Amino acid sequence: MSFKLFDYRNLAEQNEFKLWTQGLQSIQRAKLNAKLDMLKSVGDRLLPEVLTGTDTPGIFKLRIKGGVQLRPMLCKGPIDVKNEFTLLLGATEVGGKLKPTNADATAAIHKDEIRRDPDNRRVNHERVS
Amino acid sequence: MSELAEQLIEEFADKDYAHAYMEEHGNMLLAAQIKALREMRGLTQNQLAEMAGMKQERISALENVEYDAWTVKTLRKLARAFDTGLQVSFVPFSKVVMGVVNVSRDSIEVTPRSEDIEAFRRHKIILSGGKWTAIDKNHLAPVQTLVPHRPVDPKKSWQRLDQIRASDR
Repeated sequence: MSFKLFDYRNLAEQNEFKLWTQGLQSIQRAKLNAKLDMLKSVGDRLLPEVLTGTDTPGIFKLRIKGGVQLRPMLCKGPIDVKNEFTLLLGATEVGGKLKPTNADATAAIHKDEIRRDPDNRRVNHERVS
Repeated sequence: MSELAEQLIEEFADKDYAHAYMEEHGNMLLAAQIKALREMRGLTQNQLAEMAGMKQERISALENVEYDAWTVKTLRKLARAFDTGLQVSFVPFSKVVMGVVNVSRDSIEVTPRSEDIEAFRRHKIILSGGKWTAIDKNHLAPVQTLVPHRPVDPKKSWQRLDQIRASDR
């Protein structure tokens, strides 16, 4: 069984997560894509620590090690929580602090927007090679 | 063809990208496999640690997808504890791509040696196309050769059996 990945789309109909990914270096994108491919194949249950909680309930950060610690924010669902993940916001972590500082809270706002209008506020995940 | 395979073939043209992807994938796969095999055998981290001659904290670290300091020695200890084989080898990237696209919960789980060998006894090992292949005997059916009831004219490349029979009458 595989899982579906979605990206948050803002009011201007831009895929913000895709734009953030385009700004990453090739090696960072490779690590991000490897993590997302695995998440899609087996989900998070068999991948301990791949998703870690944040101060905001229901918002997780995907941990990607490197010179810059990537911490994209995502949630399960929010429509079908058993079979989907949605990438809500691109973020990094420096010295244990998220950048942008309110990344998890912003991600929660995005999640609510998607819940209210899933057809328009999310798109199938767009991979950036 | 798998959409993911096509993407990886394109992406792996970049050497740095390919190696970074595989390093990350390999770390996650090993961590996931250790967790899956431990759960499949109904073991706690403490029990596995005891069987492998390690500490529980070490098992916890190895099951973390962020762990990236694997040694063959550690993997051998775990293979013995899980009673599975361990294969560490250099392979072409094409094989790696197929490994990635075929990852699933089922592909991660490995049957212990005793059960696996017992099931493998049912296989027939045959030489096919220069390679030894194992085929489950339960999937083999006896084949009966069809022989025409009179000699076939070798000058004709194809003959219909019904016509041969008709000409016999």
